[in-house]
Amino acid sequence: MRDADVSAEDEAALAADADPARRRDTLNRLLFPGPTAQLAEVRESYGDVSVLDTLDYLYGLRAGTEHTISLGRGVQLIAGLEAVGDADAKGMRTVLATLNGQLRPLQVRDRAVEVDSKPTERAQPGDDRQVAAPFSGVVTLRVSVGDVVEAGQTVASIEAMKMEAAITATQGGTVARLAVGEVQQTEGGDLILVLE
Amino acid sequence: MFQKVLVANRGEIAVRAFRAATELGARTVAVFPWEDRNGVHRIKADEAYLIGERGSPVRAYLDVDEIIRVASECGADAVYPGYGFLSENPELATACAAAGITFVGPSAEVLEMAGNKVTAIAAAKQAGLPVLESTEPSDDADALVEAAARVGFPVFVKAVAGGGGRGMRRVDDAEALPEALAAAMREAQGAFGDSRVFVERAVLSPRHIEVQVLADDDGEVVHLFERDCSIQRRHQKVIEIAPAPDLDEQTRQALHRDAVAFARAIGYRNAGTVEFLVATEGERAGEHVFIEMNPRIQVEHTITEEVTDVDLVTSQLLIASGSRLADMGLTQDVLRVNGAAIQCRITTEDPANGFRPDVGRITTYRNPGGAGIRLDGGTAYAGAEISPHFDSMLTKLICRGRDFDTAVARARRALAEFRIRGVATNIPFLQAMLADPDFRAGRFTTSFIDQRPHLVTASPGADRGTRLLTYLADVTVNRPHGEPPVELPAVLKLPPTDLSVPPADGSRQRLLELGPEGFAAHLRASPVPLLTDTTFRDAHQSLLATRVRTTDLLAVAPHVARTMPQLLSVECWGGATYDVALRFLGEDPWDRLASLREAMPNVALQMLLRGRNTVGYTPYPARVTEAFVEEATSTGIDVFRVFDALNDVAQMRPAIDAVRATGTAVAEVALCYTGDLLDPAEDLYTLDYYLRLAEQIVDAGAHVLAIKDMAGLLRPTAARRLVTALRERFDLPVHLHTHDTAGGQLATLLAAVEAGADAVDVATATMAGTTSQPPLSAFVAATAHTDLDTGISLRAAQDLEPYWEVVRTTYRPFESGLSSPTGRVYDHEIPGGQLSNLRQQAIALGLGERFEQVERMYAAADRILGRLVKVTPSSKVVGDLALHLVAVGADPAVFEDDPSRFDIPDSVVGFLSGELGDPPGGWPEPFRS
Repeated sequence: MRDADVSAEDEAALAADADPARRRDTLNRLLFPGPTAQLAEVRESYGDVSVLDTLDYLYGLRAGTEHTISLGRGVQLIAGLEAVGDADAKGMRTVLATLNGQLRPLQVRDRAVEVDSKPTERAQPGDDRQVAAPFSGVVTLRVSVGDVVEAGQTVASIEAMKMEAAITATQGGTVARLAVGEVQQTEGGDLILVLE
Repeated sequence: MFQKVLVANRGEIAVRAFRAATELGARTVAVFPWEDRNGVHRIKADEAYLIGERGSPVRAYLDVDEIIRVASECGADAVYPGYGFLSENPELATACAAAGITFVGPSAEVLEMAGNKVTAIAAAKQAGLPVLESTEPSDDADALVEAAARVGFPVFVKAVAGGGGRGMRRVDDAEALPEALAAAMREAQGAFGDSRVFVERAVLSPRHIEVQVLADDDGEVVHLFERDCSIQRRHQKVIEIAPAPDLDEQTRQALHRDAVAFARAIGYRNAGTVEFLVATEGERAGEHVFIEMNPRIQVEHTITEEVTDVDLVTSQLLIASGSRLADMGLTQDVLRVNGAAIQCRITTEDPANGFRPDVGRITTYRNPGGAGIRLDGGTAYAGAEISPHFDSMLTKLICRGRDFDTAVARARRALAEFRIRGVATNIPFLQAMLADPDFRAGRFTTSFIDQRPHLVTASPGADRGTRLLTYLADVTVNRPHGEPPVELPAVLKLPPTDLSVPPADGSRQRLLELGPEGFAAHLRASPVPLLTDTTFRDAHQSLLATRVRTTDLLAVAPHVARTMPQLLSVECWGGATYDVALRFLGEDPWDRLASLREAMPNVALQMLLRGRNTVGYTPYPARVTEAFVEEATSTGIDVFRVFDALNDVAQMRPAIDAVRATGTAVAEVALCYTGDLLDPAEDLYTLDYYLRLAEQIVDAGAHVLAIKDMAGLLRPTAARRLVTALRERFDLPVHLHTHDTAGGQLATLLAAVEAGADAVDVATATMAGTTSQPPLSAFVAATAHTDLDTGISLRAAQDLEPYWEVVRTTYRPFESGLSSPTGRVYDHEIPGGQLSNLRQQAIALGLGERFEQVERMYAAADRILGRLVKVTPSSKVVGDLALHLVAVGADPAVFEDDPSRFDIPDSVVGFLSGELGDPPGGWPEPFRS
């Protein structure tokens, strides 16, 4: 890293009279950009994990143990573990935890479980042969592979928020492939089917 | 009254209707599609029946035939439609009539009329209400200009296909209209593929105010005053208030009068709402226009109930079953407004995500309660799955008070009481709105939200509990470090020190009093050696991959401060601690330093600074080094131990200068020791070499001279000779740091202090030995009752050992695996910190069982590179080359002959191109050429 690499903005943040918090953040970023981003990610997902006891931090919750987490003066959380469920097809387990005595089910990805779920396909914008979900909702297919459809024909319907809308083909063709199951939750822009 | 009421709806409004029906003595029937079988409305009804097909739950609620089938089969004599779904659909009303079932609402004809904008406006005009004048839609600009003349300016030009403000433009006078029309049509064609537009009178800065009416079969109509629903986002009401605050009394009367007149004129029956816009700006400020009638119950009917004490839903059922308003005691003269009420719709719309409705499972659901709070819900409870099929509303929060201010204060309190986890909610957004001064003053229009984009970015409350629990749950499932090696929390092993007693003054106060020069002079003059405790930094860096967390340091720090105030310093920062904290601990290293400073106010805090690399692995601009040193000093560092991996003083200069520039911190500058100066065959790292180096260090402005023996190679006699020579030539105190890799370094420390060394580094015994420093208690015991007695209590040293033993066990997965001393270090010269690291790297490369080969190759690589001083980062260069050569199975001699035949690791290339500076022994052949 050469002198020229310190931007004017960073230069200002490093000045002796700069706000200490900003100065520290800038130093972290200049010295270790990657790890500083990692810290920000952890904080974003989990908050300040430094308040956890090391046994909890490294090894998690143990059934039958009451875990006390001190958040500040007179503020304590009491956490516990009731049960851990089996992994589902997507490798998710339900962790039945308690927080301050109340049950808190949490979904956790078990990274030891091999999952071969297909990632959702996204439609190529501008390609009229690809039919996409217009918004997020539950899509129900109305056609099958090999069906011949005309431009404007309804190929699927989508339900969301008290509405049902038709999804129509913008051009005619034969249904070459279905990218979703017969009834499936989709996000806006997900590929539904391909025409040829 | 009816016998059995079927509610053709779901969620909170279905539950609301069941409550009303039950209060009137009727049985209740719910309908539900398969996807909604866990909906609360199913179990709140006396009977519930499945409708529709799997996969199309919304369609099921919209299926008139299904509803009528269930109603007929179960013997319901009334159908209550609620809002949304079929509530405004004349087909349901017609089908009910045909099946002999009462539809709770107006007639099909009225629904038809009200649902059609054109007929509704025409009816309103006929009834004498002011309406929003507009032209017919057209794509003929000339015709539109002509038609616009009778609308009156200002106007809006709106695209037929537009909505939500898109394709809309304001035109203030006739002259500007043709051009605006042309532009609007062009834009509409481009955006919607439909160029038709219409011209509509502009209501400037409008408020949305609506009037609740009830009408019976005799045509009698009463109004239940008004609601202000101006707070909208994309035409969705967000907050509703009754009565409308800050409204001119004349306008209020006019709205009530017009609403009743309209309902009468169209022969309305049952509950309905007449909606108006009231201009607040321009020539027509204060004037109102009719926009539409909602021929059904509304989401916000609750606030009218709260301020009038009239139950609108039971009223609907009673009217539908033939009751007269007069029989129900609902005559205009007795109706009054009492206090104020405000409703907030709690939804799963995520303000941070463009208000996209969040879906998922609610993990925690806690309601507010107490005086003046009403909650109408039906979908939200802990464990509920929020599906994307339906409305995103979780519950309606209705708060009442004697006046608007009290109601708002209650609403703010109630919002803060909510705890909803698992799905995002709009609560932060609602809170931001209720906190807005204009809102609280009752000054708002329909553009309130659009004009305040900051409301949307209101940060969600710090839900620390859920986030931490999410982390813990992940670790619980994935066990990244296996099973806990110990059950016992280490803190139970802390000695019974009285922490209420402030610690005695120590080196920190001495430094503040004497300044860095005086501090150094005092150290040099001390008749006994002083100790630096490295347990907080180098010990765990060398034994536990630097993983010890701040909480474990902070737990013991106040004990160290009180039981060992004689310490010269506690080394607690710098080296690898900085990036490990960021990378692996989720901690900000600055927070650690600040809290240790607070916990140990009496002992000087020391850090390791890698010259221009500061705490990193590559050189940084001097400006960064300066700022780093300044900030570290102001956060708590008193002593900086500065070194350079190639003993190049020029590389340390910026750091030394920066430390001196603080005027308060001590610049302790290290000569890094390697080889064996006693060996007659040694031709590079001789006593002369170190003395020449020391002279440069002294000239550079060091306050204290450090000997940094990274690998533990400094033998006792060599230490005696080096320390004696340094003390003879220079006035600076000498501070010795070594690693106990071979197991004999206590002897070296003793030889050094006998020769006059002023300070040495040690670590708590349970964190000492092998690649760490020699044990503190052994040194204290060795010098006790002699002229060199440190004054530190052996008991105090012993008392901290059980704590650190448990801490160390807790971190067992990070142990280096070096279980005993090793004499092989005298050959390979691998620094303590690196030795543990290299073993792990070798294991990762599958060379774990051939570590001796790695050691031999390290020595060979060192020789090939010209016998370096090996410490971060130069040690990494040697280690990378050694691992690379072992991995490719290279013969060092072949490599040395012709390195160009091999891939060379990046760090080695960087070193050879001079990135780390010049090596003490010069550039080796063949690399020089």
